[in-house]
Amino acid sequence: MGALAIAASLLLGCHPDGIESFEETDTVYTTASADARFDTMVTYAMPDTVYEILGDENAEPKWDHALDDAIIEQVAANLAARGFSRVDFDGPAGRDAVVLLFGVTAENWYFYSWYPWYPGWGGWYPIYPIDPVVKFTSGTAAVNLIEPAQAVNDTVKVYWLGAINGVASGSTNLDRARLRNGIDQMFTQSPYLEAGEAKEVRP
Amino acid sequence: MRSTRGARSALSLTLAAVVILIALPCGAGVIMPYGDWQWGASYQVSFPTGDTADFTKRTSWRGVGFEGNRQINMQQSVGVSVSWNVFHEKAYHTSTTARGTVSGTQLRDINSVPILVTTHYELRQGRQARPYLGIGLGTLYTHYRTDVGLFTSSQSAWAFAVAPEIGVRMPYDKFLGYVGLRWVYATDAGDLPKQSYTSIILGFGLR
Repeated sequence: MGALAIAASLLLGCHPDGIESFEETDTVYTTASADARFDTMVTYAMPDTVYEILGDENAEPKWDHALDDAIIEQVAANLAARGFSRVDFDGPAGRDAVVLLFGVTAENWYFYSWYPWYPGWGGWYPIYPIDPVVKFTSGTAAVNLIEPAQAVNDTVKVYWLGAINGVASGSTNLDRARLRNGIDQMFTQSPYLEAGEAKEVRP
Repeated sequence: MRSTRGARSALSLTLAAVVILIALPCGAGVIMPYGDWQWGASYQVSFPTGDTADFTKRTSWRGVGFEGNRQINMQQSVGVSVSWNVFHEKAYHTSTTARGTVSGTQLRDINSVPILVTTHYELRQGRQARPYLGIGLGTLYTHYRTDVGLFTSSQSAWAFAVAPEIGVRMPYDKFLGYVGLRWVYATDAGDLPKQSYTSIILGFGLR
């Protein structure tokens, strides 16, 4: 709950009603390349892990891999519901697309200063300022849909990207549920993402 | 660049409004020896409409105003008015831009500050309640802020504003109570759309 209190104080200092749960810090973002051709995609491969993106090679890994299964299952279930068939990532079968999952954590430092006031003779006077420094952890899980066959100079284009960002609660069960809901929302706001269908792609 | 042009335009219109409001009663040649200023402060409840309601639908219960009026004849006064109305809404939204779609619990705030030159015309004199008609011309400073998750975006602009008003003034000895209904309308400016809302004004003043 400490993280929520910190996030709430950070985000909502002047709001009459603000963030009241970790879920309310969740933001789901999706975008798609205008030239994405989902009508040519039916099969896809997805590794059984979430790759952590680190700031540099010496950075200490912090991603909670206990969340990986929930992410993979939920992405696979949504893709299946949209007509995509998953094939073995390392198997011999061909695939039209590859889905890569990434996780990023960030330590957020926030410094603020405020003056408590107390009533005194003839008015209100400031007393010594309070300068707390607070820290909270946020996380982002990203789903990338690429088409390796279209690689140019060993560079592949991301045709669809979905990401969920929020304040880590410290509870794996709660964060797992939030990720499942967020992944569902990624697909809800991407109606054009359907295997073998030539739908207009909108960001 | 658009904001600068909008600010200049709002400034020009505001200056024109000041000239018109001052010139009108002078031209009529009815300046009366009622030069005392009346000062008042008000609490305001505002109801967003139009594009303002598209951003925040909820009634604003946070509004204050300060105004000064100078009686220039038996029935007419001119003055200035500055208010601050805060609109707030918390709701789950999905917003689509050219770069992508974002969903989340959004905290949306509008800080709206109309700064107006006003004139009021009282329909009845005497010590009893005095119904009045009024209009204010000037500028509206608007600040939009959206918080979604850990992200914040904001825009602000100055726009030309007009604010017709009806109400009742209730003088009592050296004091003055007033109740008004004001519609604030501002042109689009910068990245912000037209603004409009209706305020109930409950004021108390000295005269």
